[in-house]
Amino acid sequence: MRAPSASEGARLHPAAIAVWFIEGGRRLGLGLIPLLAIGGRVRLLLLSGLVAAALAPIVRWLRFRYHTAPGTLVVEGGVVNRWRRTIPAARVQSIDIVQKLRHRAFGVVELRIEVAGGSGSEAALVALTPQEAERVRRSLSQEDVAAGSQAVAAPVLVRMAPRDLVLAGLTGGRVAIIAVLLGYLQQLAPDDFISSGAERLVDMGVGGVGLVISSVAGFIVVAGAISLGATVVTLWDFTVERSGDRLLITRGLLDRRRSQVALHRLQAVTLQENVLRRALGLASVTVVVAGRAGPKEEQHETSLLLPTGTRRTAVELIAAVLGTDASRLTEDLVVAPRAALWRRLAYAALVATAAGVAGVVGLDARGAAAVVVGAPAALVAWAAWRALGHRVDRPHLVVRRGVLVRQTSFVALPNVQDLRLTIAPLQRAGDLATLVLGIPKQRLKAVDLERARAEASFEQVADRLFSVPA
Amino acid sequence: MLGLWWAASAALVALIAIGCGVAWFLDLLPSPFAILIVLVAAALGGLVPPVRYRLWAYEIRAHDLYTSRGGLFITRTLIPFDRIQFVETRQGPLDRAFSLHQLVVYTAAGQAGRIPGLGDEEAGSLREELSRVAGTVSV
Repeated sequence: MRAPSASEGARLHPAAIAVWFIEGGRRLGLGLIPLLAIGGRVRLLLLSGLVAAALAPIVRWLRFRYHTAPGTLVVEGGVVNRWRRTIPAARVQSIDIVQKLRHRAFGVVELRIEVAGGSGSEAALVALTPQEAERVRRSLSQEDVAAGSQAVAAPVLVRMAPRDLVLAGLTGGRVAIIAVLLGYLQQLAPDDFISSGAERLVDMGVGGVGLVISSVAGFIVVAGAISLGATVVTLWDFTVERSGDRLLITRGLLDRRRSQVALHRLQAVTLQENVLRRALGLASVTVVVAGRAGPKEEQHETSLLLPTGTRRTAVELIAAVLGTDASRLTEDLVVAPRAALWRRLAYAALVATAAGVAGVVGLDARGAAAVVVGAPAALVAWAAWRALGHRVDRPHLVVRRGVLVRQTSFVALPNVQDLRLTIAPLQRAGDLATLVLGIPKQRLKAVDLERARAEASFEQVADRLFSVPA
Repeated sequence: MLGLWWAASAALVALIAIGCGVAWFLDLLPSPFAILIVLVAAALGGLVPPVRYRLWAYEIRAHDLYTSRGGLFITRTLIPFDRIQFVETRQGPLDRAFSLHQLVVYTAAGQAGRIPGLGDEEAGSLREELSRVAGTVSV
């Protein structure tokens, strides 16, 4: 039998030259253009460099070939160092079809393939016609290639209407981050810009408290608008479809993206509820996938399964993805014992005492009033205690925690890799312990369980792990 | 292993003593305070290594590797054999001085467990044994 070879393989769409040129240009070319003003020999050198940069993608395109065989993808290329990579379909973690603006200009798409343990995209076919990308994707997914593109209608799990995206943008964590950034930028802005605005408001008869309220309201409106814009652009037409044992996630207004994740590659599914969304009965859903590389800023979006929806929709989606019954997922979690509240209140008292001491040392006896920070600290302690919950005796282990963002994570037993039980000094005083579930890329902590219960669960989960091989 | 921890704790106490001496010499610290700090450090330095040593335990059980350590902060780990990805032995400079090895066990979740203070042969045989059962359900 002959080893699969790419030599008879296909070339990328010629648009790849342009895509590579734009990507390379962004990295060095644009930075060099101002230097052209220098003149003389330097300019000649720079010009020849630019010409070389323009020619490199052409040579790269001539050398680059790919070839699909049943169950594998072979890619070869390289200008000076020739390389050839064989990617077995069984090792593929996820396949993304990306269409950035530079791809849209030529009507092509980029296919990115990620393999477990890889540091970046193992293979990127930067320019393919959409039909060809779909063919390669199907071939790697070992779907019936001949079945045609729309032979089986994929059931749609999530489809975000523009109205839903507006809700997602206005209630997302971005609002808070942008508000903080705006507060920081405001300090960089010229003084008169802000004070003149304030003066105008004073002229209009708004003063004191009204001024503070209006400036805070202004902040929130601007932050909300930016957040809204960003959310709508990145998540436009967000759709999750289920096709066999795979999820297909499509999104994006300017940069289109279509990701494919095999259901058995999901390590954990998390229900996220920030304070605002919880008050409105909303939630979002994220997933943890092993071997998902890609740029940091894209990771959040690629792991998103539901930007926002009612809590009920979110739980039903999680149940559908995990293949269980929604009614049993979040019901009767074991809540944390009272001792866990005392432990948190002890920390709050510590914070209050430290603030009081710092106040007295820093100012004078009146500084002792700083102990009032104990009140919000105690409130946070109480909220943190209320958020704690877990359930480890079902097929899916559940861990819940978090004050500002309440996170409820669901893990299928076979995904648990190792177990850890930790007892800190203050926990021992309250007969508490923390159970840590190791899953790829994350360690889920069930914090402050009753110690006896934690110790029993530790052994029980271990027994169940060995009876359910990974 | 105990020897290594003795050496480390002695070095730490010596460092604290030197720091206090310098602070006292520069008039940053009154002498009673300096003496008190050094005495407390010496007492802890004498107490911690044997206690820590006694509390360190590992066990190869029927289906998993179990380790337990710590008195103040207790940590127990459990690594099922079929979740083990690979096993390695390591030797830092201090380990080498006492001809000891550390055994580190990795699962898909990353570094999952560590057994320090193993002799040459013990480390080698343990590594081979765990590599053999890695991916299997039981010993």
